[in-house]
Amino acid sequence: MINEPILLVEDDHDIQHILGHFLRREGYEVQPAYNGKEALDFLRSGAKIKAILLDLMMPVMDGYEFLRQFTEEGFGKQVPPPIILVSASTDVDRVARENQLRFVKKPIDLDELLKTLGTARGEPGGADDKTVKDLRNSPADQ
Amino acid sequence: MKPSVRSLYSAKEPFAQRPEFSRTLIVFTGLVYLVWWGVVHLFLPQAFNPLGSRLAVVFLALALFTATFFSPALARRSTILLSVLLWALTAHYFYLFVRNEADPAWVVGCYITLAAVCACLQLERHLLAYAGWVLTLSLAVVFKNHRLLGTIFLPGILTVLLLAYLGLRARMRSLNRSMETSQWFQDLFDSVFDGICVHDRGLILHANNSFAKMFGYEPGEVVGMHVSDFVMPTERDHAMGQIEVMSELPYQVCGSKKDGSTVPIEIRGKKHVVNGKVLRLAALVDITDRIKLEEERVRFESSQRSIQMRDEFLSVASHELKTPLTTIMLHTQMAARGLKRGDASVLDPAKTIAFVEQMDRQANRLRRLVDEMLDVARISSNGKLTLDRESFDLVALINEVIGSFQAQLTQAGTAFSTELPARCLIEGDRFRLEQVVSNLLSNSIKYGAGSPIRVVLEWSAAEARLAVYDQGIGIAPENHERIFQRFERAISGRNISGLGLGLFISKDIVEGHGGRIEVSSALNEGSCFTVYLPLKSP
Repeated sequence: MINEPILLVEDDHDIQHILGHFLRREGYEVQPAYNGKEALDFLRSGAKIKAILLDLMMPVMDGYEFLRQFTEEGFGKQVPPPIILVSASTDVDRVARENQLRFVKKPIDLDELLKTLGTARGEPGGADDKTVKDLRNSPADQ
Repeated sequence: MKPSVRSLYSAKEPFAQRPEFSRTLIVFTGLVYLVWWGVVHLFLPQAFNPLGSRLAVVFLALALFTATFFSPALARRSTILLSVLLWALTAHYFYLFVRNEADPAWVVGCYITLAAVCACLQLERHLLAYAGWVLTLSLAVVFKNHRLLGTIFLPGILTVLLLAYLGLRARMRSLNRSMETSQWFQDLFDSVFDGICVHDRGLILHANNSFAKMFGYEPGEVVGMHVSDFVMPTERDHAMGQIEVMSELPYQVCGSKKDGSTVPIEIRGKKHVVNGKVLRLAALVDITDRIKLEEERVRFESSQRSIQMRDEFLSVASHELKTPLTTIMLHTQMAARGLKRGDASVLDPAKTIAFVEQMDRQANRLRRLVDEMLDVARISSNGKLTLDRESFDLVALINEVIGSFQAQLTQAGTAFSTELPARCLIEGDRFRLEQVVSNLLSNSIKYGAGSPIRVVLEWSAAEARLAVYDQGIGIAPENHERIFQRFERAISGRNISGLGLGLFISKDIVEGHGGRIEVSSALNEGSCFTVYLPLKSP
């Protein structure tokens, strides 16, 4: 099975770099995107992904606009990839509640992030409720 | 001389405003008179029935009728015409009486016709004059022929008196009705909320109670006063100007009350023609409450705006502060995980150096943000930043700042050029001016969108002029003022980093040095920020 990547949408280069490094270490493939537009372009190319880690405040196209267009264009209607908001915004919990998404507040706690990623498939509105499982394919550090 | 209010508003003669009706009546009377000749000619062939004199009267009626079409003045005075016709008819009857020695058919026929016309003449003075005319004619007839006394004089006088009584009674009734109606209108006029007045070039002819009350006068007092008596002296020219140009748009003035206090009013005036005279009707509204409400609304909106601005600032600040914190904590968590795992690579010197450098960079970023926020807090509480002045070379400072941005410029691929003199000595706070240059440069990189940046420094005997040009997204003219305010930026906050405090602080620093900062820019055409600094401290 091809290892589907996690789409990491984050404008800050340092965070993008270190978080990508961490996730790869944890056994995930990571596809970086530096703003909402890049992320949408990647999705439009038809690539399959496992999950989206989405920052809210970004240049060019922010997370709010990304979420709007993501819903509008109906990406992955059959199996929508779970989106996890990763943001320092004060209204991240509100946005998450409104869109029925999970969220991790910045500064990021790595254990919390892993836990959220692990259960992300159990999302309300996720593909099928029975697929509550760890998303990791090949844990490298065990 | 003041025009009399009464004369302008007295009740008009019933037919004066209706020439159409009078015209019809004149024609109708003429027709009846001719028809009567036909009836007598058919049924009483032996009766005295001359056509010539009768036609003369009918032609008079026709002439009057025609005249009303050519002379608007005559048309307006058609009541007089009717009276003239009536007098002529009556004179003709008496002529017939005398010639015919009172044929009974004549007496009855004539009085029926007269009764019809009399009923139309409902004016007191017309009826009285007419009664006098009949009396005179009767006396003349009786004087000529005593035998006619019984058949003409008595019935004639009695009939005319009866008609006069009936006519007057009808007239009084209609007057009564119109007085009731006018009282009703007066009450209505007095009880409307707006103050209403009618004035002739400022002289008040009529005003309702609300008008008088608005200015603290008794209802009867205001008539005869001048409108400028109700306006504060400073605003009289304004108010009279509005009257002069016959403006029909609402305008506001500060009204002056009887006791000397003031009241804000809104006035709407319009042309008001009465009997051909051009007057002006004005409606006044006391806008004290409206102004109070408006002020409250403005206060409310500004407080809403500060709340919104505070929320936006909190959101931006939270993002800006947490981003470096996130990097730092990611690094420390990763290191902790590596150490726990016993991963030796964590302790690798090259990695450790990179790690410490990262920490240092993020800590510096945090420090800059905290400094900015503290600066703003200082400006907000003291009004100004304190400056430590010294003499230094501005060119060297600019080069230093450019040096610190070199990595960022290279990364953004921005073409960069400078036009700097060899040296420019200036008295000022070196640290604070460095902040200004750094802010302008960072803005032009941030908003320049990779376009070429040019920094120019010129100086004269008195001042130095530093200009930073970019060719980026630019700033719409309506935002030129706003960007120098606290927490403001020209474009909405989510997608550009920074607290939106840079220009606010820069402006304060430059003004503290006795200089000024200006922007010239248009949307999508780049921006130029220019700082003028005096070389010697003031």
